[in-house]
Amino acid sequence: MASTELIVHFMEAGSNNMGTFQAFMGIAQNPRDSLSILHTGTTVVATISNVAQMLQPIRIVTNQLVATTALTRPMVDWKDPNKKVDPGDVLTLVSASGTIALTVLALAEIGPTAAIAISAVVLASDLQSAFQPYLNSTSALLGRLLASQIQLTKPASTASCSLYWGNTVVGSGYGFYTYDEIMSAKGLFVCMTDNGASGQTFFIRGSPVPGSLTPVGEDAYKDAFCRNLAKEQGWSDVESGVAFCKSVTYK
Amino acid sequence: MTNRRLFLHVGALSLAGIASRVTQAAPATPQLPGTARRGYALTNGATALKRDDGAWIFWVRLINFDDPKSDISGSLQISTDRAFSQIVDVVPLTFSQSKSFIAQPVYQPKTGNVQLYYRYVVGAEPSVAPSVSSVVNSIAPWSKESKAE
Repeated sequence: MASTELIVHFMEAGSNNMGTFQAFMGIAQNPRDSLSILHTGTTVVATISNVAQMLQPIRIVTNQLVATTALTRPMVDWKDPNKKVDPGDVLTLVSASGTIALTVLALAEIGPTAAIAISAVVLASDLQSAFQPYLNSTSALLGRLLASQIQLTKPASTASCSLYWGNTVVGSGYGFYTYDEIMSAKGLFVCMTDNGASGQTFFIRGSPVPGSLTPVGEDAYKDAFCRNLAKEQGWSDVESGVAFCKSVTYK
Repeated sequence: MTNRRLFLHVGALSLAGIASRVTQAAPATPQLPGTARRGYALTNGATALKRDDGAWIFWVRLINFDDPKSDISGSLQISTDRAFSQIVDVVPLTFSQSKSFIAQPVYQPKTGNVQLYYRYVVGAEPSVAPSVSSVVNSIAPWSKESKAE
């Protein structure tokens, strides 16, 4: 079997809560359970042996859905060394115990011989119909922006796993920083949104709320950020300004 | 169930000796670092992975707490001894703000079957940032990832 690395975006519904992702990582490390990738129904094309996180989760907020995504590097063992999965193909990822079933949408060519790149989005099944229209936009956004920052060469390093996509100077470009750097600089975390777009297209925008595997207090994060802004800019009516900042500016 | 699996996950990682650690979740409420940190620091990585062709890809992120905007110039020093008295190669590096202060140099060892030690240096001398340069790792032709020394 040919073993290769794959870089995928794992995406699940819900704000700052990635229970399915944690279960997925758990199964991938559990010797008594296994994960298989199925193509066109029931043919097993590959098995997943090891999953490592590459970045801290990124939030997605649109009119239709709230989700969280994490950049992940699974090791994939291919049954057929000549197998090729084309962009646009839909595969299924299931665990032997049946506790997990996910959809894999290929963004780029995947296979034992394919070059390493962000190559697929792994989705919880309930997200597929809501997310499918955004697929092209996601592919372009994540492919271009993330790949310009993280060099995705083989072997892919997971040393970046504790970094957040964000900024440390509001209004400047986004990069990868530790939680402490963003918080002490009163910076923003990247959030993907379709706010202001004419079609189903993602933009990136700053949000005071970090993406997380476990739930975080969104109101507390927004409140702290907006109160600091009020203090720095010397707002005359702090309470209504903070309320506007929390409910409109950083909705 | 998830907790049990995460526990198994952690156990499996430490048993296999894999360097990657289980990532922590973001704090539930905003947390500001207690004391302001000063100077240069490695925030992530300082690790290297071997490519199929035998070259090594290093991965390191270096920041300056006193100046979070300016690019940092430095180098990767490769030596045959732990004390760095026999430096065999120096790879110049720039940690630029536009690349999030991440550097990923590729290095092909010229020597044969020997273990090499490496460290990062800020500016021209290890004395500029002793805490950065005191982190020493090694690469060896018989392993696939770098090892802390």
